[in-house]
Amino acid sequence: MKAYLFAAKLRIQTALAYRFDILSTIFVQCIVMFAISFFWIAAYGGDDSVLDVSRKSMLTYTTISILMGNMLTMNVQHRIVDSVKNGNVAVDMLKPVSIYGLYLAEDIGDFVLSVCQKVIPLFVISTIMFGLPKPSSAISLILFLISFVFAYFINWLLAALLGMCAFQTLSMGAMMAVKSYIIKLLSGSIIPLWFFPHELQVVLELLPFVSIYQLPLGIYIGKYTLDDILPRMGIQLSWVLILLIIFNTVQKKMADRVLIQGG
Amino acid sequence: MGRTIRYYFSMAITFTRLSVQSGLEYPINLISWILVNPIQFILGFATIKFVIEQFGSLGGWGYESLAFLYGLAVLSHGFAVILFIQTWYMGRHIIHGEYDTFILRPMSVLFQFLFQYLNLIGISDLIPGLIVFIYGCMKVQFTCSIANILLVIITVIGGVLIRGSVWLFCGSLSFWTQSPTHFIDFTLELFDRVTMYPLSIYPRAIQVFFTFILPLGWITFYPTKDLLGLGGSVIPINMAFVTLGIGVLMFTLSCVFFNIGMRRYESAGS
Repeated sequence: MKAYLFAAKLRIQTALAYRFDILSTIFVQCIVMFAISFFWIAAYGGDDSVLDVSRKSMLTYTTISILMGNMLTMNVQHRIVDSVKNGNVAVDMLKPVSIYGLYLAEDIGDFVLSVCQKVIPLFVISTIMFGLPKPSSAISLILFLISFVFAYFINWLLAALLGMCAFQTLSMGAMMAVKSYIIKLLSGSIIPLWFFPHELQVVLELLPFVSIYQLPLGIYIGKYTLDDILPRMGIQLSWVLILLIIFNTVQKKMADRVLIQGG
Repeated sequence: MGRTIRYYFSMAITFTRLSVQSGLEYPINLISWILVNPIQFILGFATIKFVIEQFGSLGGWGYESLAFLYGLAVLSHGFAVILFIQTWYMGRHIIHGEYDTFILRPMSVLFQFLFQYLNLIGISDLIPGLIVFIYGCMKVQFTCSIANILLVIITVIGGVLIRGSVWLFCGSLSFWTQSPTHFIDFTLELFDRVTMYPLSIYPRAIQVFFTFILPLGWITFYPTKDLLGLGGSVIPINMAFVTLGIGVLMFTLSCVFFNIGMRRYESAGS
């Protein structure tokens, strides 16, 4: 455990060295947040509520989505790709800790850091601009937090699985781009799926991406009723388990491959 | 004078041929980007369409006009990426002293820098841009007269120059800061937000800012308003020409700025 804590701490110290990057990220995130918020204000126009979601809730949805986006940046895929490319993966495997545990610890280090450096400032700015993004009730806040933890793991496992493709093919740029577009647009992070055509909604709700953004966000703003939340969180939890099983299988296969390559 | 122009022209062609050849050297990489990149624009536009269908309009714009606007934005983005991508990495060039080669040649440094590299991957942005734009043209029943096509071309040229000059300006800042910081994420996000949606959805102060101070509203918003006859024009000439004028002016200023910065260039110091 100490080793993982150390990996997380090291990560935080490295990132602290790049202060300008943080400022510029906050600036970019502010632009995105303002732009999407004004998009919704313009779209709502004179209506106060569309599809049972009020204008205020939609602005809350946008703000929290941006904050979540900053917490859900995963380094694991690049980490795996880089260490496969430059051969560090062998060194990482020699360490007396699980390499994926190590990568997860590093990502959690990033998580803690981005909460302090980006999420809190962005939260303050958005509160000043658009009012406090309140959850619809205390229960929804608690359920949101639980669902967010699941979302974090789904996102992490997807990133790790993609990263592991690097053991097979070394050119990953295009595939990573596809993954980020798909998560951005089909997870409800910008535009919730309830605005999509019905058939498309049904299909997309079965995929894991919705569980990353839309489910926690929908719970937060009170879009779903309590009876509705439990089955949805059930689907979310099953995705965590399914991905975990796939991850375990793939990871074992890949470890063998590395040994063969190294021979 | 004539000889100089011919010389520069032949060099431009050589540079272009070289970068096309080197781009084609890794066809798999190129093809994978051409397949992948359109996804973001097509999905991006589809989601906007779903929202507008739900709400009816966005800042007074129906989704047909939005398709036209969005397509035009992606088109000028694509050309700008093809022509100006090297400005994204100026900070690194400056710190690593990579302009040394250019200085040694008897030719304008800026010219060599701008023409040395043509990014073929930018084509992957042009394709979805064309698709959405043509779709938008059909939806708004845009009359494809020669005059209109010329106006679109003028708008795109002006828009590409505006984008390129912002990049060149930001990159040239590295001559002073001596740091590799690049503003690309920032400018790309800004361009997307201002050019792909009507400027009229933003508060008054932001509209004024992007009209007069940092004139990004001219890349697509004002010319589209004119081309589609959405009204509200206060000046008698077509907005496309204003866009071109602003583009040429901004680009000239950025070139001057680059040349001033170049005087401070001190190589890698090794």
